[in-house]
This record gives sequence, C-alpha cells and structure tokens, in this order.
Amino acid sequence: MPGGTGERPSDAELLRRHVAGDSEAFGELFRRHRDRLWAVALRTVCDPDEAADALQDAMVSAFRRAADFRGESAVTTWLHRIVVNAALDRLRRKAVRPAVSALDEQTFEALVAHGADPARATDTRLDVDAALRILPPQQRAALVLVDMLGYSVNDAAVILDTSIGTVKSRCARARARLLPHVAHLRDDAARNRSASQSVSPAQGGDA
Amino acid sequence: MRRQMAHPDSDVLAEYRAGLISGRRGAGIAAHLSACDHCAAVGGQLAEISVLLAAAPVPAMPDSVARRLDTVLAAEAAERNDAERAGAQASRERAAHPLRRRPSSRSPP
Repeated sequence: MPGGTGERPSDAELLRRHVAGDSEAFGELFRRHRDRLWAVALRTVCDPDEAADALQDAMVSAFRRAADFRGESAVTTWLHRIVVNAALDRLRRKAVRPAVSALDEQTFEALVAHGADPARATDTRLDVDAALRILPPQQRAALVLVDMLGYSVNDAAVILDTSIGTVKSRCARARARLLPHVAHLRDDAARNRSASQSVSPAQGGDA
Repeated sequence: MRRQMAHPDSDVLAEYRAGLISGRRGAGIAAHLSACDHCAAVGGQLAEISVLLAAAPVPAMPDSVARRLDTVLAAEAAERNDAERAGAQASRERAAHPLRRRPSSRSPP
C-alpha cells in the first residue's frame, strides 16, 4: 500500500533502485504506468489476449535490460518504446495468419451495421476500436500515441524510433483513412459522454 | 488567370494540416481551402477525428492481466535474487578465505 510518506520516488529513481538490486522497485514502476502501457498495447494490437502477451514480453525485457537505460529520454518513453516494439512484433509474427490489419472497410461496416457483438453490447468503445482496426499497424501505432494518448510528435518519434516527419505523415494518412467513419466516431463519443453522465451506483437504473 | 485547383485528396489535406506541405504547393492548398467550402469541411472533420480519438476513454488494465504481470515480475525478481545470492555467497567465501584455494576448480586452463 502506498502510505502517506510524503515524496514518492521518481521513475528514474525506481529504475536505479531496480538496477541496484531492489526487488520491489520495478514492480512499483510498472504499477504506476500500467494503465497507459496497457492502453498502448491494446490499441496497437487490437486484441486483449495479444495485448497481454505483448505487454508481458515487453515488461520482462524491460526488467532485464534496465541497466541499458541511459536517461536520454524519460523512463515512460523508454517503457512505451519497448511495449510498442513488442506489440508490432506480435503483429508482424501474426501477419502470416489472417492479420488484424486485414479487417477492411467492409468488415467494419458489417460490424457497425450489426450494432456490435451482443456479448460486448455494453462496450461503448467498440466503434473506436473497430475504426482503429482498419489502419495498418504502423499508422495505428502513431495515431494511438499522438491523438489518443496525447504524446507530442517528438516523443512519439522517439517511441517509434523514427523521424518526426514520418510520425506526422503516418498520423495524417491514418486520419484521412478514418474520414469516412467520422460520423460513427462522433456517435460513439456522444454515447460515451451520456454513459459517463448517467453513471449510477444501482445498475437497475431509475424508472 | 490561374485555373481553379481541383479538390485535393483527403490524404493531401491531412498532410497539409500536419504541416508536411509547404512552399508553392502549400500556398495553392491554402488558397483552395479559403475558397472551397467542401474542402474546408473535410479539414474540419480531420481535426474532429483527433478530438474524438482524444476523448475516447483510456481502458484500464483488466485485473486478470494485472495479476498475471505482477506474478511474472515477482518471479523475475526472485530469480534475480537467487542468482545474486549465489554470486554473493561465492564472493563472501573468497573474501573470508583469501588464501584458501580450491585446488581443482582454480586450475589454469
């Protein structure tokens, strides 16, 4: 439990402690950022099981390679880079099988027309997730970082190990590709807003 | 008099908005956008896509995945501790008995 012990160690300090042999430090660092790291993995591979595997590969790798961290970027940037690489690796390995990116516009329209899988009917993020699946992995990874998670183009370029121009271009092409679906995204956002406004503790709701 | 530019592709408009097109070509697109309601609307929708994506909630990590990752990282830490303990034990023995030589294991190659 994080007690009320005033200052909490910085990410860089936790990583130093980990390298020095502290067996709790890396776990604490991971718990601190796990929701964002999860979001990056999930949205890059578009599949919860694959995302969990990618994240596990990435965290084991980060745990073992922590001494290589040179402090040229933020610790979170370094962690994101390892997660994105693991996620893209998984997609590459999957590419021989029916790939996630092969989910084309037609399939997307079918998904939307069916109003989602009934098992996931409460998942209001479906439209955003389905829209992301249309994109090629590299474009999707860039768009997730910049537009969804709010990273600067600079940071995204470091995470993706590419140039700023390439990140801008991948994001631009991804946005253009999503253009025919802007109405779905708009409806989805409106549903999310009304869902978060009408959140009540009792699930039965007021009649 | 210059010919009216044809509507640029949405790719081109998106690249222009991202600051990737400058110079004469960029100026041409800027002029077209100021005169063409259709393309101005497309530009507005491209901006809206970024806003809508930013508004999508960040999914929390499921508990099952969190538990699995905690277990994996704890196992990594335990493995590393074991390896370090074994190493420390060996160097303690060397420090405590600097003159003692293990006859066979120290034999030169």
